[in-house]
Amino acid sequence: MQTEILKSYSKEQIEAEKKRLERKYESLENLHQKFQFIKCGNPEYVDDYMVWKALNEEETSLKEKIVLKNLGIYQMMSPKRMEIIDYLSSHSTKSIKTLAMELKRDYKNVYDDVKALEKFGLVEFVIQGKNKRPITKIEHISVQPDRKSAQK
Amino acid sequence: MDIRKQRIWIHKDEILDVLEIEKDGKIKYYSYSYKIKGKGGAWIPVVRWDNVDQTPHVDRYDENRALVEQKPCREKSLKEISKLVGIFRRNLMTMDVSEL
Repeated sequence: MQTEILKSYSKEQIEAEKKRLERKYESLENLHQKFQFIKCGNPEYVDDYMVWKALNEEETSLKEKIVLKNLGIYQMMSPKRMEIIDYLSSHSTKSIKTLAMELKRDYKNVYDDVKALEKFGLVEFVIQGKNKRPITKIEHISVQPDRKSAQK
Repeated sequence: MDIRKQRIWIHKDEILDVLEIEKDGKIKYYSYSYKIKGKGGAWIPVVRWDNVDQTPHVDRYDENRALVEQKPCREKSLKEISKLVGIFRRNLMTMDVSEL
């Protein structure tokens, strides 16, 4: 069994991604210098540089896919956690604390659930002022019999 | 331009991280990184294929993330790499992957 989770970035999320890279490296030129100096010594620099450069082009789309070839995801999924994904897909919330209040659930349980979802990339955090806003970029989840060939 | 990122979970502590940047239907840049979970939970690259500077090659890293080997290889596709990683998994750490 194989699970595929598709995530796509809106224009705002692409801008947020560019801002994240700016916070991390200050400028594309700065990253370019690091990348030229160290090359594959730090593969993260190379990938970040290529992504940032592409994001600066017009009409660039960014899509992410998570493929789970093992059944680990089913052990961590529960109706409550699915409810969090569902809720975040259609609501904007300020923090885990706010999310817990909105779902009328205990903060500690919601915190643990969000952290477990984050581990698999199902929930992410956006820093906004002092808040860490939980969001999800999930567009589609599909489960299918394992295919021998790779996915594109 | 289309940026595609993928994380393929092979096992709970083994992943294949994929980055493909496509322009006009052609992959301009790719990187396929087989990573394992290190102490403290961070993902450590073991073997990585990419075509930066239009030079397809394969890199091998040690447990401290230091680049220990780099060899040229022909252009790779995700299909090939996914198959290789699925078959050899941790054995990739000691294999001559440029020959595969």
